[in-house]
Amino acid sequence: MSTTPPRLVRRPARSVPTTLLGVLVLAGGLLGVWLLGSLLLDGAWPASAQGVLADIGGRRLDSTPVLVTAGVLAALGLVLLLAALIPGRPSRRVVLRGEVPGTTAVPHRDLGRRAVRRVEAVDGVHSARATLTGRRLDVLARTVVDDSETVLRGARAAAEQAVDELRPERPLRTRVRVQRMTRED
Amino acid sequence: MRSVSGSRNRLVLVAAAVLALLAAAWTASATVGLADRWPDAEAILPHGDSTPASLAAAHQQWLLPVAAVLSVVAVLLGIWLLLAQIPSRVRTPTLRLRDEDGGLLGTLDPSVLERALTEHVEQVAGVVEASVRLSGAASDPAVQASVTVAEDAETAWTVEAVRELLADDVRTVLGTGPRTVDLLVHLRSTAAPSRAVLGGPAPSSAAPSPAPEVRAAHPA
Repeated sequence: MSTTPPRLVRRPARSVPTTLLGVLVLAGGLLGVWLLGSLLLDGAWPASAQGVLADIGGRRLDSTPVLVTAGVLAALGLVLLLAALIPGRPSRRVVLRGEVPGTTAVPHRDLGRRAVRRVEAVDGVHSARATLTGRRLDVLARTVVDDSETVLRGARAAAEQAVDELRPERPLRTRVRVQRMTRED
Repeated sequence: MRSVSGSRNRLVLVAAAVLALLAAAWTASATVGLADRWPDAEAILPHGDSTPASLAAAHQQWLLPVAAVLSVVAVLLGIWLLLAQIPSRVRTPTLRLRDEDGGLLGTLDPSVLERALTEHVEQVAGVVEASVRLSGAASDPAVQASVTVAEDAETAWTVEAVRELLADDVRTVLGTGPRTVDLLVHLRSTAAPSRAVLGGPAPSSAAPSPAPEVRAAHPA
C-alpha cells in the first residue's frame, strides 16, 4: 500500500453503486451456498426451493421468461458500466496556489455559501441563492428595491469578490441575477 | 484523511458489468439460434431447445463443485466489497529519526506530532478548527490538513500562513521539509446578515457572540 495521501480534489468514488453491487453479490452467494450446501450435504434441494427450481429447470432457453431475464441482466450490465464510466464532478475546487508545494482545496458548498453571505450583505438584497455548476457560479439575489440595477451591481461585485479572494485555479465565472419580489405586506 | 478507493470501485463495477453483459448475451444467443449458424462455437453456446435442467445434467461432473466454489467466493467478495466502502486511511508508521550517518536517534509516534501541529495551526489568526494528518516516512513526509476558517478572516492570508507554518514545523522536527502540504479549507459562514450585533466584542475577533440581537431595519 502506498503512503501517498489521496488527492484532495477527486471525482466521486462510486460508493453507492458498488455497495448495491456488493449486496447483490452477497445475496447471490448466500443463496448459492444455501442451495448447493443442501444438495451436497443432504443429496437433495431444500424442500422450500424445490418447486421454484423445478420450474426454472424445465424452461426452454428460447422461452420468453428466459429472454426477459437476459434483458434484465443486460440492463444491469449497462447500468453498472455507466456507473463506472461516467466520471461525475468533484465536490471541491483547487484554490489559492502558493509557494509551498501541495494543493489547497475548498468544498463547492462552502464557496457557494460564502458567495450567498456576501451577496446578502449588499444593501437592498433580501435573500440570495447560489448554485455552482462546473465553471460557473450562479447567484440569484432577491430584492424588494425598485432600482434593481444598483442592487445588481452591488451583488455582482460582492459575488466576484468572494470568488476572486480564493483565486480558483480553474477560472470560475460568476453570473448574478436579480429577482424582484412582489410586496406582500 | 479517510477515503474510499474510487479506482478499485470502478474496476469492480466494470468487471461486474462485463460479466452481466456476457451472461445476457449467452442466454439470448439461444433464442437467436447462434449455435446453429456458427458450428465452431457449438460446444459453448446453448441451443434453443435445451433447458437449465438438461444443461446441468450434461455438465454434471464439473458444474456442482464449480458452482459451490463460486457461491463461497461470491459471499466473500460481497463482504469484501461492502467493507471496502468504509472510508479508511493507511496508518502512518512510527517515524524514525536518524542522524547523517544513518544512526537511529529516536522514534516518534506520528499522532504526537499530528496533535502538536494541530494545536499550533489552531493558533493562527482566523483558524477556528483544524486537524492535521501526517503520512509518509521521516525522510519523506507529506502533510494533509483540514482547517475551518472564520467568516471574517482574511482567507488567503490565513491559508498561506497555515501552509507555511506546517511546512516549517515539519522541517524543524524531522529535518526534512514535507513533499506536499495539502490543505482542505472549510469556510465557516455564520451570522445571518439580516441581524446586527449591538454591544458585542470587536468584530475583528472570531465569531461574534450572540449578545443582544436586534433585527436590522428591513428594506421592505
